[in-house]
Amino acid sequence: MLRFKHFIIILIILFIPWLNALYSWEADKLRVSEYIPPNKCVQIVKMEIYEKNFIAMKTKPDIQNYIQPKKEEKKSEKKVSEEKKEELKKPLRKILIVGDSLGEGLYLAYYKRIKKEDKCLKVKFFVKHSTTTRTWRRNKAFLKELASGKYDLVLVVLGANEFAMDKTSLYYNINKFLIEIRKTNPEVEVFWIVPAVPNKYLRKYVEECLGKDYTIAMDDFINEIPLSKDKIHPDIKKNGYTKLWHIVLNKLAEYREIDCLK
Amino acid sequence: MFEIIDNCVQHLRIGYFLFLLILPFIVGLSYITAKLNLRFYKIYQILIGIIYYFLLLEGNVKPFLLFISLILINIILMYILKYSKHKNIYFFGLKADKFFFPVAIVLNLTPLLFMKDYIPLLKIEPNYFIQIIGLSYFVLNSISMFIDYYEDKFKEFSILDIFVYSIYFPKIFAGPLVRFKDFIDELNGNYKNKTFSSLNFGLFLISFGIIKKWLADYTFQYTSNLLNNPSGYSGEQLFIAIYLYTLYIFLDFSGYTDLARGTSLLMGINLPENFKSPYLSKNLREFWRRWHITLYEWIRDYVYIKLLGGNRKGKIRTYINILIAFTLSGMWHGNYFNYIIWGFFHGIGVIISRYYKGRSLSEIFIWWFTTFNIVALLWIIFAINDLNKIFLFFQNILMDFNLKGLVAFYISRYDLIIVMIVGYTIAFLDNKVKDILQLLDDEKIYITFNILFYTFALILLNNKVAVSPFLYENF
Repeated sequence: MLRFKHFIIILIILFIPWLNALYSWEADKLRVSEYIPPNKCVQIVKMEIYEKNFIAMKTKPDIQNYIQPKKEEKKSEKKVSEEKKEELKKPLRKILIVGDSLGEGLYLAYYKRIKKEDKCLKVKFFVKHSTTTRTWRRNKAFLKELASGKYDLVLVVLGANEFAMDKTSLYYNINKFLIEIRKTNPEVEVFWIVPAVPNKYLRKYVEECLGKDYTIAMDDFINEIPLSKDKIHPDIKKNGYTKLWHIVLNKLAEYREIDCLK
Repeated sequence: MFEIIDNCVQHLRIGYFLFLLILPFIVGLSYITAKLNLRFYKIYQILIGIIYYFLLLEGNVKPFLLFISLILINIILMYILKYSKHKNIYFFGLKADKFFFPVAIVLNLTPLLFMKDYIPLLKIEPNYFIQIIGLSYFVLNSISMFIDYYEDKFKEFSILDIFVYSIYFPKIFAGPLVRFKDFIDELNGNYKNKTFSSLNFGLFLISFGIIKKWLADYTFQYTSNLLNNPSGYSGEQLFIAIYLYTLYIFLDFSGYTDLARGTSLLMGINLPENFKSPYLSKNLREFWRRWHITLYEWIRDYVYIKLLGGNRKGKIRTYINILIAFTLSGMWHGNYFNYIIWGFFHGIGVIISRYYKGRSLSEIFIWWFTTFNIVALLWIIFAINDLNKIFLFFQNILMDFNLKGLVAFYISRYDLIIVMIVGYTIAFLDNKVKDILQLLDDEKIYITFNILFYTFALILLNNKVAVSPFLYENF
């Protein structure tokens, strides 16, 4: 026979997710959040609310962490005329690449070909197959290197291991990763190579969080690269990664001066 | 950004975070209404079912109204059947109930024909039937209700009973299938038949279901890539994918069932078990007594025995009946040839199983090993709708298999190896763990265990690498 007090005990246990929601709301202030992940839906709602408050009041400095690249700034960036763009060009010397198996391919091609072709460009790699944005936003070595301020640009080559995620998780991971980069090094420019995976939201959310100009979507030039059988990775034997390097460098050259290419 | 928050509505699915946030309120109100009045309790279950279903259809009105109208049609048909049973009215020379009974069955099968596109001439645009989540389960439940009533397995029913039976939310998407009488007995008994231990067991099932689904989602990302594009992967990768998919489908479906049963128990209704450690089966006949049990029983009772005559017409006819029943069960999953092949081979396997005689330990092991591997291979046929891809899949395993690749996989994807070990341990011990917990009557231990287990499940839930919809929702 079920007693009333027994039912109340069960009901109290059922409220544990509310504690989880509370924790997720406050997680950014707590050190423990590194080990016990907060809930993504709660965090996204928080981002949304804080962003609105920010636009309305422009106070609270601690909320900077939750802000995407400011929309107004993004708009003004787009208005910059082509000539001014040329004037603003700064030389590109040091790149920090963070990535998964695609990044590993770029690493191999860099030491095999690109380094010989372009001797003044210095590239440091943090790449490992099967990794995700979540892996790297917790990687202390990568964050330490990023914080050193030695790099002009961070090139992100991630997403191929995250495309099966639901939209909420995908958006959350991309945004959280970019926030972590900005928090660690607010000055560095970030470009993202989006792999040609069967999930249109990956590109959409990278463009939304980072800006279209900073997104290098492989979908746009996938036919120009020799691909391996899985149709996601370039073919290493047919110099697919070298081709990808050239396309990426040409794209970067639109914004930065890469001396050795000239 | 609002689009993203809208997407969080998807997290209302059973076992997801938003669902767990509202669960204490749903359960609390369920208990209060049950204590007040049985009628209130039933109306409450209907309201929750309607709201929940409407939300998960993302406010899509047309398929929602279509679904409600299907329930209303069934209510009308049940009352016509009830009326005609007791009156001497004739239609086309048939007694009214004999006339309306097949009409009810055909009317219930029609949405399924539209939904699965079985008959090319029946194609309609736009097809709202496709959007009705869980329509296949609704149809099977309704048909069993009509047959059982026609055969006098139950005599009394009300509009509320039929409505709750049709829209009771824990079972609406992917079962388990439950007979009308059993369900209504549980509904009428609700919390009166429950103990502290049974509610604790419900809570355990929810935590267990979350963990199973987490493990299923972990394997999903890897296996979905391979099954979509088998030509892009090496033989050994595809070989491992066979066992990963076998694990995935068990964890996904039995995880859903645990969540559905657990939620339902907390709401006062005990739904039947659908799995009993099926991968321990020593032959395919036994497998089907342990896998998707409620569907197997439905097909056995209503198709194999009632429609086809079962084993009463000689050996050859029995075998043919088994093949037809299993092929039909394959077809129920969808209008693809791979499902027919899958069902047919299971039928063959069940016939062979009739000759099973596991006497010694070694014999039992050989039968188990063979059964497990046949089941795993047949899951690949089940998983890939394109026959060319199925051929490519097996061709690549045979032509491009390298043992060293297995070592490389072990080194590079040890995470998946861990998931496989944990997952298969759960798959093999699932039934035993549940049996032990159902006997546990020490309140303090049970409660402490449940608090820790539920908290652990929540931590895992926040740490998902991928989220896939429940596979059987699609059927």
